[in-house]
Amino acid sequence: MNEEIDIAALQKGDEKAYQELVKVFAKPIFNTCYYILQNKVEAEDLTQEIFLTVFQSITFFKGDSKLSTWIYRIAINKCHELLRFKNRKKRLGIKIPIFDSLLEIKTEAPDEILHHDERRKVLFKAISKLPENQQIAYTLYNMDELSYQEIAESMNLSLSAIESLIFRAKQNLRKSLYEYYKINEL
Amino acid sequence: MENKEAISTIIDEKFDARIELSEEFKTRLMTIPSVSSTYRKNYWLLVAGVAVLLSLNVLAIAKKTRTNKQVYIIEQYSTSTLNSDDYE
Repeated sequence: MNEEIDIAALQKGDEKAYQELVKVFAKPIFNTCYYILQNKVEAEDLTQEIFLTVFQSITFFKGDSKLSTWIYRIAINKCHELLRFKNRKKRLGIKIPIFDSLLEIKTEAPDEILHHDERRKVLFKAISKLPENQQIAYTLYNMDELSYQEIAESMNLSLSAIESLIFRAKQNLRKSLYEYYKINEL
Repeated sequence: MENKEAISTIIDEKFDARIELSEEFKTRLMTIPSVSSTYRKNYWLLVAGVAVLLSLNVLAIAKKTRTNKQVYIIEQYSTSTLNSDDYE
Protein backbone atom coordinates (compact mmCIF):
# COMPACT_ATOMS: atom_id res chain seq x y z
CA MET A 1 0.00 0.00 0.00
CA ASN A 2 2.81 2.41 1.00
CA GLU A 3 4.70 2.36 -2.28
CA GLU A 4 1.98 4.31 -4.05
CA ILE A 5 2.21 7.23 -1.62
CA ASP A 6 4.82 9.97 -1.91
CA ILE A 7 5.46 10.60 1.77
CA ALA A 8 7.87 13.50 1.20
CA ALA A 9 5.28 15.31 -0.93
CA LEU A 10 2.65 14.56 1.68
CA GLN A 11 4.84 16.10 4.37
CA LYS A 12 5.19 19.25 2.26
CA GLY A 13 1.40 19.52 2.23
CA ASP A 14 0.96 18.51 -1.40
CA GLU A 15 -2.76 18.10 -2.10
CA LYS A 16 -2.30 15.55 -4.89
CA ALA A 17 -0.29 13.27 -2.61
CA TYR A 18 -2.96 13.64 0.03
CA GLN A 19 -5.68 12.72 -2.48
CA GLU A 20 -3.68 9.63 -3.40
CA LEU A 21 -3.52 8.74 0.30
CA VAL A 22 -7.30 9.08 0.56
CA LYS A 23 -7.78 6.88 -2.53
CA VAL A 24 -5.65 4.11 -1.02
CA PHE A 25 -6.65 4.23 2.64
CA ALA A 26 -10.16 5.68 2.86
CA LYS A 27 -11.98 2.43 2.14
CA PRO A 28 -10.03 0.12 4.50
CA ILE A 29 -9.99 2.69 7.30
CA PHE A 30 -13.69 3.42 6.96
CA ASN A 31 -14.54 -0.29 6.90
CA THR A 32 -12.40 -0.92 9.98
CA CYS A 33 -14.20 1.86 11.85
CA TYR A 34 -17.52 0.54 10.57
CA TYR A 35 -16.86 -2.98 11.83
CA ILE A 36 -15.59 -1.75 15.19
CA LEU A 37 -18.25 0.90 15.84
CA GLN A 38 -21.10 -0.84 13.99
CA ASN A 39 -22.58 2.53 13.09
CA LYS A 40 -22.25 4.19 9.68
CA VAL A 41 -22.56 7.83 10.75
CA GLU A 42 -20.05 7.41 13.58
CA ALA A 43 -17.68 5.55 11.25
CA GLU A 44 -17.87 8.35 8.65
CA ASP A 45 -17.27 11.08 11.22
CA LEU A 46 -14.38 9.17 12.73
CA THR A 47 -12.80 8.45 9.33
CA GLN A 48 -12.92 12.17 8.59
CA GLU A 49 -11.30 12.92 11.95
CA ILE A 50 -8.62 10.28 11.30
CA PHE A 51 -7.71 11.77 7.92
CA LEU A 52 -7.61 15.26 9.41
CA THR A 53 -5.21 14.01 12.10
CA VAL A 54 -3.13 12.20 9.47
CA PHE A 55 -2.92 15.37 7.37
CA GLN A 56 -2.03 17.55 10.35
CA SER A 57 0.58 15.22 11.86
CA ILE A 58 2.17 13.61 8.80
CA THR A 59 5.28 15.76 9.44
CA PHE A 60 5.83 13.71 12.61
CA PHE A 61 5.90 10.46 10.63
CA LYS A 62 9.54 9.36 10.72
CA GLY A 63 9.20 6.17 8.72
CA ASP A 64 10.00 3.85 11.65
CA SER A 65 6.98 1.76 10.71
CA LYS A 66 4.95 1.31 7.56
CA LEU A 67 2.71 4.25 6.67
CA SER A 68 -0.32 1.93 6.79
CA THR A 69 0.57 0.82 10.34
CA TRP A 70 0.95 4.45 11.41
CA ILE A 71 -2.45 5.36 9.94
CA TYR A 72 -4.07 2.29 11.49
CA ARG A 73 -2.55 3.26 14.85
CA ILE A 74 -4.24 6.66 14.62
CA ALA A 75 -7.50 4.97 13.57
CA ILE A 76 -7.38 2.48 16.44
CA ASN A 77 -6.61 5.19 19.00
CA LYS A 78 -9.59 7.19 17.74
CA CYS A 79 -11.84 4.10 17.87
CA HIS A 80 -10.60 3.44 21.41
CA GLU A 81 -11.41 7.00 22.46
CA LEU A 82 -14.91 6.81 21.01
CA LEU A 83 -15.66 3.39 22.49
CA ARG A 84 -14.38 4.55 25.88
CA PHE A 85 -16.54 7.67 25.64
CA LYS A 86 -19.61 5.62 24.74
CA ASN A 87 -18.98 3.14 27.57
CA ARG A 88 -18.46 5.97 30.03
CA LYS A 89 -21.76 7.50 28.92
CA LYS A 90 -23.47 4.16 29.52
CA ARG A 91 -21.82 3.81 32.95
CA LEU A 92 -22.90 7.30 33.95
CA GLY A 93 -26.44 6.26 33.23
CA ILE A 94 -27.10 8.48 30.25
CA LYS A 95 -28.09 5.39 28.30
CA ILE A 96 -29.05 2.46 30.49
CA PRO A 97 -30.65 -0.44 28.70
CA ILE A 98 -32.70 -2.34 31.30
CA PHE A 99 -32.64 -5.69 29.57
CA ASP A 100 -29.31 -5.32 27.83
CA SER A 101 -28.57 -8.89 26.90
CA LEU A 102 -27.99 -10.76 23.71
CA LEU A 103 -31.65 -11.72 23.81
CA GLU A 104 -32.59 -8.45 22.23
CA ILE A 105 -30.52 -8.70 19.11
CA LYS A 106 -30.96 -5.10 18.08
CA THR A 107 -27.68 -4.05 16.55
CA GLU A 108 -26.86 -0.94 14.55
CA ALA A 109 -24.64 -2.98 12.25
CA PRO A 110 -25.88 -2.62 8.69
CA ASP A 111 -27.16 -5.31 6.38
CA GLU A 112 -24.13 -4.97 4.10
CA ILE A 113 -22.14 -6.51 6.94
CA LEU A 114 -24.78 -8.81 8.31
CA HIS A 115 -25.85 -10.29 4.97
CA HIS A 116 -29.41 -10.34 6.40
CA ASP A 117 -28.12 -13.16 8.57
CA GLU A 118 -29.61 -13.63 12.04
CA ARG A 119 -26.49 -15.48 13.28
CA ARG A 120 -24.31 -12.54 12.33
CA LYS A 121 -26.65 -10.15 14.09
CA VAL A 122 -26.18 -12.14 17.27
CA LEU A 123 -22.41 -12.24 16.72
CA PHE A 124 -22.14 -8.47 16.20
CA LYS A 125 -24.23 -7.79 19.27
CA ALA A 126 -21.90 -10.07 21.23
CA ILE A 127 -18.81 -8.35 19.79
CA SER A 128 -20.12 -4.97 20.95
CA LYS A 129 -20.28 -6.36 24.50
CA LEU A 130 -16.59 -7.35 24.56
CA PRO A 131 -14.00 -5.21 26.37
CA GLU A 132 -12.63 -2.52 24.00
CA ASN A 133 -9.22 -4.13 23.44
CA GLN A 134 -10.67 -7.56 22.69
CA GLN A 135 -13.29 -6.01 20.42
CA ILE A 136 -10.67 -4.16 18.38
CA ALA A 137 -8.15 -7.03 18.21
CA TYR A 138 -10.79 -9.59 17.21
CA THR A 139 -12.32 -7.29 14.57
CA LEU A 140 -8.93 -6.43 13.04
CA TYR A 141 -7.96 -10.10 13.00
CA ASN A 142 -11.23 -11.17 11.38
CA MET A 143 -11.15 -8.39 8.79
CA ASP A 144 -7.92 -9.90 7.45
CA GLU A 145 -6.52 -6.52 6.41
CA LEU A 146 -3.53 -6.63 8.75
CA SER A 147 -1.13 -9.36 9.84
CA TYR A 148 -0.71 -10.28 13.51
CA GLN A 149 2.49 -8.23 13.58
CA GLU A 150 0.75 -5.20 12.08
CA ILE A 151 -2.16 -5.52 14.51
CA ALA A 152 0.36 -5.62 17.36
CA GLU A 153 2.17 -2.53 16.06
CA SER A 154 -1.08 -0.66 15.44
CA MET A 155 -2.34 -1.41 18.93
CA ASN A 156 1.06 -0.77 20.55
CA LEU A 157 1.04 -4.24 22.10
CA SER A 158 3.24 -7.32 21.87
CA LEU A 159 2.44 -10.24 19.59
CA SER A 160 1.64 -12.50 22.53
CA ALA A 161 -0.70 -9.87 23.99
CA ILE A 162 -2.61 -9.75 20.69
CA GLU A 163 -2.82 -13.55 20.54
CA SER A 164 -4.14 -13.63 24.07
CA LEU A 165 -6.66 -10.83 23.36
CA ILE A 166 -8.03 -12.67 20.32
CA PHE A 167 -8.14 -15.95 22.23
CA ARG A 168 -10.04 -14.35 25.12
CA ALA A 169 -12.37 -12.55 22.72
CA LYS A 170 -13.24 -15.85 21.03
CA GLN A 171 -13.78 -17.50 24.41
CA ASN A 172 -16.10 -14.72 25.54
CA LEU A 173 -17.98 -14.78 22.26
CA ARG A 174 -18.38 -18.55 22.45
CA LYS A 175 -19.75 -18.21 25.97
CA SER A 176 -22.28 -15.49 25.15
CA LEU A 177 -23.41 -17.13 21.90
CA TYR A 178 -23.75 -20.49 23.62
CA GLU A 179 -25.91 -18.90 26.33
CA TYR A 180 -28.00 -17.16 23.69
CA TYR A 181 -28.65 -20.31 21.69
CA LYS A 182 -29.23 -22.39 24.82
CA ILE A 183 -31.94 -19.98 25.99
CA ASN A 184 -33.43 -19.72 22.53
CA GLU A 185 -33.63 -23.47 22.16
CA LEU A 186 -35.62 -23.84 25.36
CA MET B 1 -23.44 -30.13 20.07
CA GLU B 2 -24.67 -28.94 16.70
CA ASN B 3 -24.92 -25.46 18.13
CA LYS B 4 -21.39 -25.58 19.49
CA GLU B 5 -20.05 -26.33 16.03
CA ALA B 6 -22.20 -23.64 14.47
CA ILE B 7 -20.97 -21.13 17.05
CA SER B 8 -17.33 -21.95 16.33
CA THR B 9 -18.00 -21.55 12.61
CA ILE B 10 -19.59 -18.13 13.12
CA ILE B 11 -16.76 -16.97 15.37
CA ASP B 12 -14.06 -18.08 12.94
CA GLU B 13 -15.79 -16.62 9.89
CA LYS B 14 -13.89 -13.79 8.26
CA PHE B 15 -15.50 -10.37 7.78
CA ASP B 16 -15.08 -10.26 4.03
CA ALA B 17 -17.79 -7.74 3.13
CA ARG B 18 -16.51 -4.25 2.36
CA ILE B 19 -18.66 -1.19 1.96
CA GLU B 20 -18.02 1.21 -0.90
CA LEU B 21 -17.68 4.86 0.05
CA SER B 22 -20.19 7.30 -1.36
CA GLU B 23 -18.88 9.94 -3.78
CA GLU B 24 -20.04 12.68 -1.44
CA PHE B 25 -18.05 11.22 1.45
CA LYS B 26 -14.95 10.77 -0.72
CA THR B 27 -15.18 14.42 -1.77
CA ARG B 28 -15.52 15.43 1.86
CA LEU B 29 -12.31 13.54 2.68
CA MET B 30 -10.46 15.01 -0.31
CA THR B 31 -11.25 18.59 0.72
CA ILE B 32 -9.69 18.23 4.19
CA PRO B 33 -6.44 20.13 3.26
CA SER B 34 -8.24 23.18 1.83
CA VAL B 35 -10.80 23.22 4.65
CA SER B 36 -8.00 22.79 7.16
CA SER B 37 -5.99 25.70 5.69
CA THR B 38 -9.11 27.89 5.72
CA TYR B 39 -9.61 26.96 9.36
CA ARG B 40 -5.97 27.80 10.05
CA LYS B 41 -6.33 31.19 8.32
CA ASN B 42 -9.52 31.88 10.27
CA TYR B 43 -7.77 30.84 13.47
CA TRP B 44 -4.90 33.28 12.91
CA LEU B 45 -7.36 36.03 11.92
CA LEU B 46 -9.21 35.41 15.17
CA VAL B 47 -5.96 35.51 17.16
CA ALA B 48 -4.96 38.76 15.43
CA GLY B 49 -8.42 40.23 16.11
CA VAL B 50 -8.22 39.35 19.81
CA ALA B 51 -4.69 40.82 20.02
CA VAL B 52 -5.85 44.09 18.40
CA LEU B 53 -8.83 44.30 20.75
CA LEU B 54 -6.63 43.64 23.78
CA SER B 55 -4.06 46.25 22.81
CA LEU B 56 -6.83 48.78 22.11
CA ASN B 57 -8.21 48.04 25.54
CA VAL B 58 -4.81 48.42 27.20
CA LEU B 59 -4.17 51.69 25.32
CA ALA B 60 -7.60 52.99 26.28
CA ILE B 61 -7.00 52.15 29.95
CA ALA B 62 -3.55 53.73 29.83
CA LYS B 63 -4.96 56.88 28.25
CA LYS B 64 -7.79 57.05 30.77
CA THR B 65 -5.35 56.62 33.67
CA ARG B 66 -3.14 59.39 32.29
CA THR B 67 -6.13 61.71 31.84
CA ASN B 68 -7.36 60.93 35.34
CA LYS B 69 -3.89 61.68 36.70
CA GLN B 70 -3.77 64.99 34.84
CA VAL B 71 -7.26 65.93 36.06
CA TYR B 72 -6.23 64.99 39.60
CA ILE B 73 -3.06 67.07 39.39
CA ILE B 74 -4.97 70.04 37.97
CA GLU B 75 -7.61 69.67 40.68
CA GLN B 76 -4.93 69.44 43.34
CA TYR B 77 -3.14 72.44 41.91
CA SER B 78 -6.31 74.57 41.74
CA THR B 79 -7.34 73.47 45.24
CA SER B 80 -3.95 74.36 46.63
CA THR B 81 -4.07 77.73 44.81
CA LEU B 82 -7.54 78.37 46.17
CA ASN B 83 -6.36 77.39 49.61
CA SER B 84 -3.38 79.69 49.35
CA ASP B 85 -5.78 82.53 48.42
CA ASP B 86 -7.82 81.77 51.52
CA TYR B 87 -4.77 82.14 53.66
CA GLU B 88 -4.13 85.55 52.28
